[in-house]
Amino acid sequence: MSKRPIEILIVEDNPGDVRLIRESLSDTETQHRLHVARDGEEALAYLHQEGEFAGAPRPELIILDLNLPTKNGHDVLAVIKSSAQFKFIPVVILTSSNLDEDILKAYAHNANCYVTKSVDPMEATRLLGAIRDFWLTSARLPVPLPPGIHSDLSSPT
Amino acid sequence: MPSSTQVARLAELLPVFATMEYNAALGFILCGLSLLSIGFGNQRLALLSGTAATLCLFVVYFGFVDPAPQANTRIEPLLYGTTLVIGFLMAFLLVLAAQFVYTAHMQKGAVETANRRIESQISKRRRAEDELRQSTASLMRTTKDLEDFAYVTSHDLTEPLRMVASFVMLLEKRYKGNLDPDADEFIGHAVDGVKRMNDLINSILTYSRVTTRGQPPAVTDSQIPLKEAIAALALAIENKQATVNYDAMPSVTVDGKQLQQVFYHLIDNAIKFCDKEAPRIYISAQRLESPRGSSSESQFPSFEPGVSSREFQVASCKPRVRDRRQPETRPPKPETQDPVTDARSLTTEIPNSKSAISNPPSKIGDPKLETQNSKPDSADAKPETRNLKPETGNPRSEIQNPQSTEWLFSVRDNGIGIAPEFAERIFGIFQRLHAPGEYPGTGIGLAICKRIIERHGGRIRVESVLHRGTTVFFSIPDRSGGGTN
Repeated sequence: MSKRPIEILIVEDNPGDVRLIRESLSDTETQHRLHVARDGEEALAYLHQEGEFAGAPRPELIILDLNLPTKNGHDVLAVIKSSAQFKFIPVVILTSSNLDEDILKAYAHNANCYVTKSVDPMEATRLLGAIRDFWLTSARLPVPLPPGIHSDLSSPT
Repeated sequence: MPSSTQVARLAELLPVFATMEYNAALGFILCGLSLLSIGFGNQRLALLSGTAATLCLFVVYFGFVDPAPQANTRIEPLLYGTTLVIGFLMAFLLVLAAQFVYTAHMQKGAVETANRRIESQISKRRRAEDELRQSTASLMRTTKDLEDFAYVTSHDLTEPLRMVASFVMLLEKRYKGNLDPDADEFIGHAVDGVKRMNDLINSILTYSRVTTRGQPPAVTDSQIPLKEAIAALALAIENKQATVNYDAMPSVTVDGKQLQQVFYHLIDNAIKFCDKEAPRIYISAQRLESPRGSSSESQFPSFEPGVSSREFQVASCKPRVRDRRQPETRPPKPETQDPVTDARSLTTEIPNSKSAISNPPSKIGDPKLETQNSKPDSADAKPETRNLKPETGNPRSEIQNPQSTEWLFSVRDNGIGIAPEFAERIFGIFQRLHAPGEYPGTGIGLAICKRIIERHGGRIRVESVLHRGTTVFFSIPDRSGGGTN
């Protein structure tokens, strides 16, 4: 594994949740950097490196809330997964919704996993720990290739 | 102008027309025509012909016409007499016809008035119907809004709650030991409060989902949801060394998931509210025939606060209770029955109890016999009146309307029981009879059960003897026409 930190984009409007994720992720040896978008529009602006996000690094993992101001999580997910440029980025849906419709819709849009925020703090800590351990330690994430190469990969057909 | 010859010919004929006989004959003919017209309901013709006939006979009677010179003097008095009678008759008919026309006219007016009244009533009714439709729609909107509100509220309430819970815990995790014992205790209370709040919110959510997330009822083997409920409670059953037995279960038209919820909450309560011995829970179902009309209430063994003897419970309960008391006469003792090998079916149970009807006084309070009685207050009557039941109840206990049958389920336990004064209250939302520390739970279980059962057109009630046990009865209308598995 490279020493280069993993770039993680958190799309979350609740600063408390951002803090909790930050706290949980801090419990790992894996080097990482967190970037925060507070709504759907901002998330897309970040991905497209627009405005204040000019020059922002491309994320290797996205933690996405569904219930967001402006564009909601489903919309953002649909844009990401239909974009040749971004569709290979793993997206973890982390939301308080446990509606079957939301779960189905998220996976239909090719979400990589769906985790429900738990009200029980012990359970919440365990779940965040599980996300951290799996995505930052166990799973291999797609390493961004030098410019120009990704476009060949992203259009396999 | 008519020519002079024409006038002369007319003048020649005039005496002929003016003869008494001619007039009398014309009068008779017109009179007949008038009678006919009245018979056929032609008022105008009747009036005309009647008038003309009267006129003719009038002329004859008063001798306005010059009688023919060769008039027979012998006939004259007879002719005068006859014309007199006929004249009066004609006058009478004329009056009759006039009255007829007048009444018809008046009636027409009355009909028109009545029509107007009916029309105004119809329009009033239509307005009322519109109003009713509007208020129904608005009521449905309100209900829907309330359900949405409950759902959204409970959903959105969890967000800030999650924050409180998480950060209090983070505080505890990071600073435990660095703070004094008081601080640790405070944090403990905060976490505890958050957990309870969360349970309450989840309870409201579940409660509101009974109607918002309910599935349309379908024919379901009720043993499946029962087994699922028991499986979901496996841990609690094991921890408390509980025994759960059940009879053969019927097929009913229900939302299976919701029936499972009902069984879950009832069995969960039965396990939970048992302190002294190992919980013994027995679930059974029996088919009830409604004796027509509003007496369906009588189907339901009702709770009699004043009577608390064991005898009463036996009397008002089900055959299986007697089984328990006399295990030697009825081999399949519920407590020791293996649910899987339980072969006793409902269909055999019912004829048994029906045969008891023919032999009333010896079988005090055969439950089938009582629940079939059409008088609501008879089921929970005192023993003396109970003995009288078969005579009065028997003739009406036959199946009168196959549509109005229902399945009466019961979940019986040997737990702490419920004091009679709380028998109704326990079905309210968040109604608890114990301090939060004593028994876990938010107090939503029975409220959810009630909502589910009522959604299915059934009823639920509890019957209990303090410290001895509780039986929860609930009914599901039998839409399938019956049959057990």
